[in-house]
Amino acid sequence: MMVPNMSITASQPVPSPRGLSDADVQLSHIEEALADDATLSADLLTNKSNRAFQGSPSRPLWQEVADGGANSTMDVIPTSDLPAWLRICLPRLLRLCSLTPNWDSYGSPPPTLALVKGVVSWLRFAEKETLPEPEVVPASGGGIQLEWYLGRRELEIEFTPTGQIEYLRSDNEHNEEKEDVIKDLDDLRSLLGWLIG
Amino acid sequence: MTARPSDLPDYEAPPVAEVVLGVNFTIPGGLKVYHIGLYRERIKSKFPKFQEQPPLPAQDVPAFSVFSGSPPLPRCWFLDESENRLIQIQADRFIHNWRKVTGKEEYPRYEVIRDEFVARWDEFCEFLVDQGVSKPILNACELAYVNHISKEACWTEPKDLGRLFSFLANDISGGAGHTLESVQCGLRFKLPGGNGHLNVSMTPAIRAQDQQEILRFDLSARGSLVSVDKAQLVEWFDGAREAIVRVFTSLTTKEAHLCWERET
Repeated sequence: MMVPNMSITASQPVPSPRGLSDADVQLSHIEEALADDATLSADLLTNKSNRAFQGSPSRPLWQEVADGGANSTMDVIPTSDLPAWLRICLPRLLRLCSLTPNWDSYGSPPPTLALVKGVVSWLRFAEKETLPEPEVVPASGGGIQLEWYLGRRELEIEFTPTGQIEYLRSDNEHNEEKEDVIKDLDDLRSLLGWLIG
Repeated sequence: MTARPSDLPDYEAPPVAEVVLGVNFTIPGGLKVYHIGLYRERIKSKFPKFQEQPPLPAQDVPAFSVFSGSPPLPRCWFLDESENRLIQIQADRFIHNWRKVTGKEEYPRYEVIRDEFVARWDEFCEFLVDQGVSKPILNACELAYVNHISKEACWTEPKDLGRLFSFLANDISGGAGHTLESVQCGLRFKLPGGNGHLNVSMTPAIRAQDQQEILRFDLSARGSLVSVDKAQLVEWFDGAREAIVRVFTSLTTKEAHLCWERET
């Protein structure tokens, strides 16, 4: 997919709420309760869309998302707020990291774990519970491509290591095809909404 | 060093996957990027591997660099050959981690990791003195235990977690027609003696290395520190460790203790 570079805007994260009382049990969004105290060992940002998306001109947008709160030295991906289809395909995404270099005989590296985390973060925020499981395939250059085939609609989303998120959507009923970059969550939600529309 | 309390619970096969000891500090004048390079040379024989990571956010006190105008230092990882041990340094943090890498490593026990932390911290402070850098002013410390409770080991479905954690009801199935998808929660305790707080969190996750489903059960103590006295620093860590082990034991059931081979 040939698409122009996207521009990325920068913003600051919204601070987490404070003021839990002792032995206060929170059965949801624990990371918000804990974010102010700690955590030399936590991992992926797991909050929802009420936190502003980050971005800077020098860093890929997916990486900004993946690194939010990424202060762990161990690689685990929280799954509690993932939709079922994403939870199911997560092991397949992770297995892509084990591809051998030059897996496509064109010198491509395997996708990195950071990219997988970025993909998961984006899809986590997309808040689409009812999607079918996508096909998960490596893309040339170390990217990851997700492919959905739903009736006469097809959607491919490619996360590239350079930070771009590109898509190609096809409506075989009306013989329409469109490709572009995904600039923000609204774009992603809109595309996924179109797919299940 | 404080002796291990004789009544402190002990486990032959604890689910611990990572132990983290760290301090927050301020260095008047700041740590510069060339110090990181020089420090790396000094510890290269023990920690030959190096990685850069995004800096951890400021916690209780604003990062000094906010006021100094200097660009923020990255968080630098110095890893030993096995990558089981690593030192993390950024402008306001010094952290020592022990962690599992293959999953088969034996937990070396807190006392060993604590002594390594103290030795590394002393070396770092000596290095700063040698470089003519101002002494770090400690302001907080943290001890964290990260436990990975593997799905196949003690539980198969989220509803089984009621049998492992004493603060969950035995029946958390939600009743007929409902399927419990995941359990995620957090608790916060005051440490004894006003020594800070202990945060406990539970969250399901997938471990990247083997794509295994796990329940991540973290206990993280954090306290303010006004003294730079090493004995007091160690005393804080020992107290935090004791609190973590006692709270861990209190929050888990006898069935779970059997799974982790509790000895005392």
